[in-house]
Amino acid sequence: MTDIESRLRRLKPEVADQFARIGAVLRADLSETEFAQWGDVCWTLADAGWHGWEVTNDFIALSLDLANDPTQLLQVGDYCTALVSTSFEPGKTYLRGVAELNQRSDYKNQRAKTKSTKINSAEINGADKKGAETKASQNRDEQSLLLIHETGREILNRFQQSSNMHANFFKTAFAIAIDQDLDMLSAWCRLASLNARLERSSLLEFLDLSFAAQQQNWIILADIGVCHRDNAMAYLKFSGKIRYAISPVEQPLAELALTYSKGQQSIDEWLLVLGKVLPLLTESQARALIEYTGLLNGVFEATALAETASRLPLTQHEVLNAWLEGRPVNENEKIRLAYLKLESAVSEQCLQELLGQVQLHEEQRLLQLYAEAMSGTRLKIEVGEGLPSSDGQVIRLPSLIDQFKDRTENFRWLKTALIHQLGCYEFGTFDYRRGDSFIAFEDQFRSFEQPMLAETLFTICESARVDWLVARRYRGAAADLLLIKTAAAQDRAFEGLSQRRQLLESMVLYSLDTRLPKPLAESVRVATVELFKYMDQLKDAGADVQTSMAVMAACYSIVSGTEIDVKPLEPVLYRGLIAFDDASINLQLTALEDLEADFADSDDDGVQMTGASDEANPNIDELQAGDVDNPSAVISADEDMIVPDDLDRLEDPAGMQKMERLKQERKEPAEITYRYDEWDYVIEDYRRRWCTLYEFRNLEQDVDFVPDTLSEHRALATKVRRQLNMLRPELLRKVKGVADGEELDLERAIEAVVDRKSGVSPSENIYIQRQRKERDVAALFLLDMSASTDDLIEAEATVYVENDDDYLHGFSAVSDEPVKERGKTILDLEKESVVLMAEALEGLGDSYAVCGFSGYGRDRVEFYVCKDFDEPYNYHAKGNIGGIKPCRSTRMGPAIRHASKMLAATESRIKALIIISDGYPQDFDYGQDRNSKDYGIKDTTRALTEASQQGVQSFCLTVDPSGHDYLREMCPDQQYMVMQDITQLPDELSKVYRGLTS
Amino acid sequence: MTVSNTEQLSTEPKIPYYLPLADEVEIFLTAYEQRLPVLLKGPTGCGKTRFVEYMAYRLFRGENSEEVRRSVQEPLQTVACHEDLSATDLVGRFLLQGDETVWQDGPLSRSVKDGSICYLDEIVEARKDSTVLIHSLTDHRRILPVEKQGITLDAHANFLLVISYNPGYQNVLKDLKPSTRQRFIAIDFDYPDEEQEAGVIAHESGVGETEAMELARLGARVRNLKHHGFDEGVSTRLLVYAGQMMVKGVAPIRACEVAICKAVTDDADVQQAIGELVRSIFPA
Repeated sequence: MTDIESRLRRLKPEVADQFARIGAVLRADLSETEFAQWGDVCWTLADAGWHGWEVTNDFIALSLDLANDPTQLLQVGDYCTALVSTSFEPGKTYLRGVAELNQRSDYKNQRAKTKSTKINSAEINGADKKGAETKASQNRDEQSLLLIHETGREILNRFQQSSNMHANFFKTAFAIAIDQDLDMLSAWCRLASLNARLERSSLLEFLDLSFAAQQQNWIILADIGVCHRDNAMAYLKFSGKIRYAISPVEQPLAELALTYSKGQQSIDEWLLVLGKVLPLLTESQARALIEYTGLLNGVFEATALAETASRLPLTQHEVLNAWLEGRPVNENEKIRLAYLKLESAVSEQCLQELLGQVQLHEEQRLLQLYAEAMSGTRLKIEVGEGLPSSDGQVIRLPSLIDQFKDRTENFRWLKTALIHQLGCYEFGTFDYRRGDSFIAFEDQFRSFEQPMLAETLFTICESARVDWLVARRYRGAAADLLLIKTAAAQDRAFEGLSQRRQLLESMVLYSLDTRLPKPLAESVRVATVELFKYMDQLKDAGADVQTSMAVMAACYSIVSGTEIDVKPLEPVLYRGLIAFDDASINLQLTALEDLEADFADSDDDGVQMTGASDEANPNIDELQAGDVDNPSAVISADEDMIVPDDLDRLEDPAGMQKMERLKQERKEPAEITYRYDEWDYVIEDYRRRWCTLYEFRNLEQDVDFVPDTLSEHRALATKVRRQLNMLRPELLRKVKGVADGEELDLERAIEAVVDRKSGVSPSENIYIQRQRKERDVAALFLLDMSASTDDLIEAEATVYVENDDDYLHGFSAVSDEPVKERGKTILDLEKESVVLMAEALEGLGDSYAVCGFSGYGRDRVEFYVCKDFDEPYNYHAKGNIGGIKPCRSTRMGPAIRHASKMLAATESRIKALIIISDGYPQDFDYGQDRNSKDYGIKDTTRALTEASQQGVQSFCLTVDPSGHDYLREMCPDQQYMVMQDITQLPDELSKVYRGLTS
Repeated sequence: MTVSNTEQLSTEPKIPYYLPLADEVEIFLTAYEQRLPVLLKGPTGCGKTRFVEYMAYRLFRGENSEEVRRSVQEPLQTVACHEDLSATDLVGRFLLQGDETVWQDGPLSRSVKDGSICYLDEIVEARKDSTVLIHSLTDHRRILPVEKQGITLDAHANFLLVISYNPGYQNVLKDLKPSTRQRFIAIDFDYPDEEQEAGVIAHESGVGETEAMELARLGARVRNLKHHGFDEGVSTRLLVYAGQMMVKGVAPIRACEVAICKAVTDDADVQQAIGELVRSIFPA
C-alpha cells in the first residue's frame, strides 16, 4: 500500500495525501483483498496516462460514498480502468455520473426516512412500505448502473479510440438515469446500442441530440428506432428544437410517429412542417391538430394537414370533422392531398360553406358595383391586408371574413365595413381643410400637445358621426349597422384599463350605441357624461367633419388631463383605418386632373398651362368648393369644383407648383394583378386562385421596330392587306325596299296595290333582302415570350419569296428577293407577323389587341398588353410591340384565361384568340413533376375550353415541329397549325385570321 | 304604326302634373310665340312626354289660351317613331274601301291642318324619308307637301312641331343629322335632383314623404351604375311605379325588386348590386 502511495506521491502529492487519508478510513470497511484491489485500481487509473491522477482523485473521493458496498466499489473501479485506456475524460465523466447517481439515491433514502417518521412511526406497515421503496430505489440504481455498464462496454468495444464519444455517452446516460426511471433508461440504452451498430457519426449525433432532449418518451422512441432508425433521429431532432410547443401533445404525437414508423414511412417532412406550425398554435389547437392527424391515412396526409393547419378552424370540431368527413378517401393520393392542403376547389368550398365564411373575391364585383352606385365615383375595391382601409382611390377590404359563423352575417359585416368607408366619402370626411395645407388633418392634430390622442379622438368622433349619418340616411343599412355594432361592442375590453383608456373605450362604446359596463369609477363616470354630451352633437343630421373636429377638441380637453397611456386603442374592426390625409390629397388631385383634362379639351391651341399669368395667389383649397349641404355623393362635389374661376387659377404657375406637390405626395397605384384558377388533371379539380397574373401596359419601348419591319416587308405588307381586304362583312342586315329580295315587304306591297288602284304608278321596290353589311370582330394576338423564342431561325429558312398567285399555299422555296437577314429570332418573326397584321387590320377596321405573356412560376405570370382593343395603334402601341423581348417560361393557362377575359369584355360578336408559340406549355412549377408535360397541356386544354365557352374562338400557331403531339390533345384539328417553316408565319397568320373571323 | 291621341283633353280636363326643373316652361312658351320648332333632349323617363302634354294643356286649354286654340279637338298629336315609320305613315295614305280608294290623313297632316302640337317621340328611330319630310315644316315655309295627293298643305298658324331625342343610348349610326337638328331650339332634360324627384314620386304614386325620398335616393344611386349593362339609369317613371306598388301594400324591397332591379338590367351581378342598394336604403 505504501508502495502505491509513494508511487502516487511521485506522480501527484495531493492525490497521494488523499489516498492515504481515505485509505485509512476504507481499511476498516474492506477486506484485505478488497483493499489491495482498491489500491491497485487507484494506481492503474493514475498510471493510465495524461491527467490520469484526476480520475484517481475522483475515484478516491467516490470510494467513501460506496464504502458500504465494496463489491460495487470495485466493480466501478474495474469498469473505470477500462475507460481510461485512451484518455482520462470518459473515466472522469463516468465517475461523476456514478457519484451523482449515488447521491440521488442517498437523498431519496433520507427523504423516505424522514417522511415515514413524520407520518407515523407507529404505522409499521407504512414504514415497511417506505423501507421497501428505499430498497427498490437502491436496487433500481444498481440496475441502472449495470445497464450503463453493459451498453458502455458495447460502445467501448466498437469504437475504441473515441474518448469524447465515450464521455458523451456517460454524460447522457447518467443524466437520464438520474432524472427518469429505469424503463426509460433501458429504452435509451437500446437506442444507443442500435445506433452503435451503425457508423460512428450517427452514434455521435444520437448522443448529442439525446443529451439536448433528455425529456423524452424513450420507450416509444426506442420502438420507433427499432422500426425506422432515421425516424427516431428525426423525431429526436424535432422534439429537441421545439420542446415547449410539443409538450402538450407529446404522447399522441410520439404514438403517431411510431405508427408511421411501423409502416416504414419517413416522417422527416411531416416533422419539418410540424416544427414550423406547432409553435404558432395554441395548446388546444395543437391537440386538435394531432387528434385529427390520427384520423388520417399515412404520413403524407398528415403532412398535408399540418401544412394547412394555420388556415383551419382547429378548435371548431364540428366544422373540421365535417370537412374531414368530406375528403375523398377513395381517390388517388394527389386528390386526397390537394383536398387536405385546401388546394382543390371542392375542399375550399366545402370548408367555406361549413364556416360560413365570405371570400372577398367572390363578392368583389358585386361590392364594386355597390360602391360605384353609392359613391358615384370609381372607387376600386381591392383585397387588402388587415383592416378595411381607404385612400381616396381604393377601398381595401379583408380577403376573408369570418367574424361570424353564418355566411349571411359575414356578408353583412363586409357590406357594413364598405358602407362605413363609403360613408366617409359621402359625408364629407375628406372635405376638411386647414388653411393652405395639404396635410390638413396631420397639421390639425399636431397643433395639439398630444397629437396621437387628438388623432385617436378624432377617429372615434368621425367614425361615430359617419355611422350615425349612415343609419339616419339608409334605414336598411341601419339594421345591419346595429347588428355589427353590437358584435363589435362585445369585443371591447374595459376592465382593468388605465383611466385614459377607459375614457376612450367609453367613447368607442358610446359610438357603438352600447351601454357602459358598470360600475364605473366616479371620476370616469363624471367625465363620460361630459364626453357623451359633446358626442351627441355628432348625431345631428347636419353634423359635418368640422363638427367632428370641434367635438374632438372638446373631448381632448377632458381626456388630455388623464395620465398618458401609450398603448394604442384597439381599432373597431369594421371601421378599419382611414388614411385621412392620403384620401384627401388623392381626391383633390383627382379633381385637379379632371380639371386639367377639361381644360386641355376646351383649349384647342393647347396653351401651356405653366406659361400664364402671375396674378393673385391662387388657393387650391377653394377648388373644394363642393356644396357641403349637398349630400349626393362625391361626384357632385367634383362637378361643383369645375367652375371657370378655378380654370383661371390653374394657369397660374404657383397653382401648377402646388399640383406638382400634390402629385408627388400621391401614392403610386398598386400594380394590376389578377388571380386565376388552374386545372389540375391529377386531382381533377381546379386549384383555386392558383396563379397570380401581373398585367403590364408599359413595356420598354422600341420605336424603330415597326417602321423597320414595314420598310423591310413592304411587298408582304401589301399582300397581307389585300388578303384581309377580301374579308367580307359577316353581319346580316335586313334591307327593305329593294327591287329583288327573299321576301315581300308587306307594307310596300300594299302601298303599291293602292297606288295602282288609284292610278298612280306603283313603286317596284317592294322586297326585303338580307345583306352582309357589318363586321363585329375582336381579335387578340397572344405572343409567347418564353426564353426559347430567342432561338435564331435557321439560315436556309430565312428566305422569302414574293409570289402573289400562290399565297394560299405559302411561299415557294425559290427566292429572288431575300427579305430576311441572318440573326432573327423566332420572337422577331412573331412580332413582325403581328405588325403586318396590325397594319392590315387598321385598314379593315376590326378591333384587335396585341399581348405577350411569360413569367416564372405560378406566383408571377406576366402579361404584357402592347395594344388594347380600344387603344389606338399609335406611337406608344408600336413601341410596345417593338419592345417585346424573350423572358422566361410559358405558362399558357392563365395567359389564355386572361386573354379570354379581355375578349369577353369587348362584347363583340366574333371573338378570336390567336396564340403564337414555339413549344409546349411549361413552367418550373407547372405540375409537380417538372419533366411531365401533361399538367401544362391539360391545363391549357382546359383554358381553351373555358375560352370557347365564353364564345372565344381560339387558334394555336406553333413553330415547334413536335407540336402535333400535344396540340392534337389541346384543341381540335382545325384549330391549330404547326408550321414547318417559320418564315411562313406572316402569311399563315393572315389566313388564320380570315378563317377565324369570316 | 303607333299613333295615339294621348290627351283627350276635351273629355278629361285634368291638368297634367309637371314639376319645372329650370326655365323650360318659359323657353317653350317663348318658342311657341314665335312658332319655333322645339327639340327635347334627355334620357328615358325623365319627363319629356309629360312636359309636352303639360305645355299642350297650358297653350290649348289653359286659362289664357285663345278661343281658336280651345276649340282644337286634339291639341297634341303624339307619334312614337320606330324604324319602319315612313313618310306615308305621317302624312297619310289612300286606303281601299270596297272598290274605292279613300284618303286618310296621317297625324302630321291632321295636326298641320288643325293647328295643334305634333310631337314626334324618339325621332331618330324613324326612317330617313320621314325625317326629311319635316324640313319644310320647320323653317319659314311652314308647308307640308302631300306627294300622293299632289298637293301642299300650309301649316295652320297654331301648329308647332316638337321632337324628342335621346342622345344616351342611340348609337352613332342613328344620330340626328345636323340638317335636321339645326332646325330646332333644343331644351335639355335630365333627371331631377333627389328632392325634386322625391316630390314627383310622392305626387305621382302617393307614397309617403320618407319613402319618396328613399326612392329618389335609390334612383340617384342606381344612375351611378349606368355604364354597367344598361345605358340609361333608372327612370323617374320606374321609381313612380315602385312607389305605386308600395302604396298598394307591396313590401318596399319587393316593390323595388320588380320595378327597378329586374327592370333596368339583365346582368345578374348588377341586379344583385342594386338589390343590395335597395336593402341598404329600405328597412326589411
